[in-house]
Amino acid sequence: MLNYEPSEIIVSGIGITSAIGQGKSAFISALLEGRHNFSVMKRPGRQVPFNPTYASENRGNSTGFLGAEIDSLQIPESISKKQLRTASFSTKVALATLQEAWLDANLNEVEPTRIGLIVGGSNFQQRELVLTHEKHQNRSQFVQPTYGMSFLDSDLCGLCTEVFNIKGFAYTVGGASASGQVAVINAINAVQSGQVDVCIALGALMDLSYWECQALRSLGAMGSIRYSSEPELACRPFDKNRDGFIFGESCGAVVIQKSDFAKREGVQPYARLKGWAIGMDGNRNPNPSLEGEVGVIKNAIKHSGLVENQIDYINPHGSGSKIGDEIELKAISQCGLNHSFINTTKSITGHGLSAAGIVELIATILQMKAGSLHPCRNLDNPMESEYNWVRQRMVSHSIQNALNVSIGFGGINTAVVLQTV
Amino acid sequence: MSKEQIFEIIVGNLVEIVPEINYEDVLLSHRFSDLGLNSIDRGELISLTLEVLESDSSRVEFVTAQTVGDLVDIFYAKL
Repeated sequence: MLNYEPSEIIVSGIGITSAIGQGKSAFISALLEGRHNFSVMKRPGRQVPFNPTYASENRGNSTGFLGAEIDSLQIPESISKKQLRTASFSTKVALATLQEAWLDANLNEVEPTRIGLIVGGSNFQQRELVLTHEKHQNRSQFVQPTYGMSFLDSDLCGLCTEVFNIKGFAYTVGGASASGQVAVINAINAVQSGQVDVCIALGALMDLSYWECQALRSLGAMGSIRYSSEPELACRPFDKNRDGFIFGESCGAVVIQKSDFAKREGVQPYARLKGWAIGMDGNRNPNPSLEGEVGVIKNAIKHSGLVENQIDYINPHGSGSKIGDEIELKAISQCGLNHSFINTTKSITGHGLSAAGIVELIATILQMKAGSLHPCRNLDNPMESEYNWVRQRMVSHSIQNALNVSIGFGGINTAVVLQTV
Repeated sequence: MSKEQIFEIIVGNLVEIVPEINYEDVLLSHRFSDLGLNSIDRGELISLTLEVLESDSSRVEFVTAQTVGDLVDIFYAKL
């Protein structure tokens, strides 16, 4: 048994890039206003190419894949064009996002060997791979040699460490849609163990191609064609008329450290990370598990030293999937959390998949700082009424203790408890 | 295809790989190392140029090139 209080774990820097805005200020403004960017996706490689053989099944705009895409990415001028030329879209977004978190936490004052980077996500450059394969179809001898580096997810780690001079460690962790939170939990462990003084957890932008969109739709996970002529109505977690998740491009980065680590000029803690838990269902498939979700929620709260009635806000996974939302509400009830405010960040941003866990952690922290809870979009008919929903309008509320849940295919569940500072 | 045309293709590819290089500043006598190209960049340059020229030549035949002029000469000899 410990005979001392371990240092508190805090978040000391944040970076965010999403389809509703780049940077903390733009992001929280859009969230509080409920401003979305859903439409038929336009980025090259996101829609099934026209094939006259299957003309009747051709995916024109009327049946195209819906999602929220980043309109214009601002990349810091300090990153050279040569470095950017062979960087994937996921890597470019990561560089821009990391830059914001890096400056926020004033990491230039930290010894490079004492900084780590953990990237949440695996196979997150799919669209880039498809575009490369299609460009060089039947002429593979001309594929660029740098594809031999850039096809690896860890190329994102390599380029980030080169640009920011990170020399502790950098690696990726995969946990499907819980990848972001898996990265956060690994970063906490790295700081607690003393492996590094500061660890950045970054949820990588999942760059889906039309292949993944089609398979996820066929699987029944991604929204169908039901709302294809009204993209703004498609993303509706916890609503009776939900139809599956709707993709949203996003990337988030949080800087994690102990509260007693060297003070740096201009750096203020955003929030305490009080408790966390990760658990598996022992199930390869996409279907959720009530037992698994209840387990991580209870373990994270127990680990935080708090009790259920102290949790006044929940940022749920809330993907908008039929069965997923049902099970999650049951888990919230079983854990005695019906009193907590609930909203759904995904209803505004879309589902960032690998990035979701960190993007929603950031949404929680920024709402904590703002003293307001953002509205939910399209929560017109909540599946159940006995929850403390934030619906069409934002609510003034000072979050004291928040629970953030992530759930992923392959039976992975994670939960993190945050506390205001 | 003339040597001048090959030179223009190579310089165009050079500028694509290292956008900080000015097209007009590149000379036949420039060593790749002087232009800030590492071995990976040189591999990219050879691949891009092979693609433009639609050449199936082996990359091994180009590795001895140290200057822009060397590379122009090798490509010219392959055509």
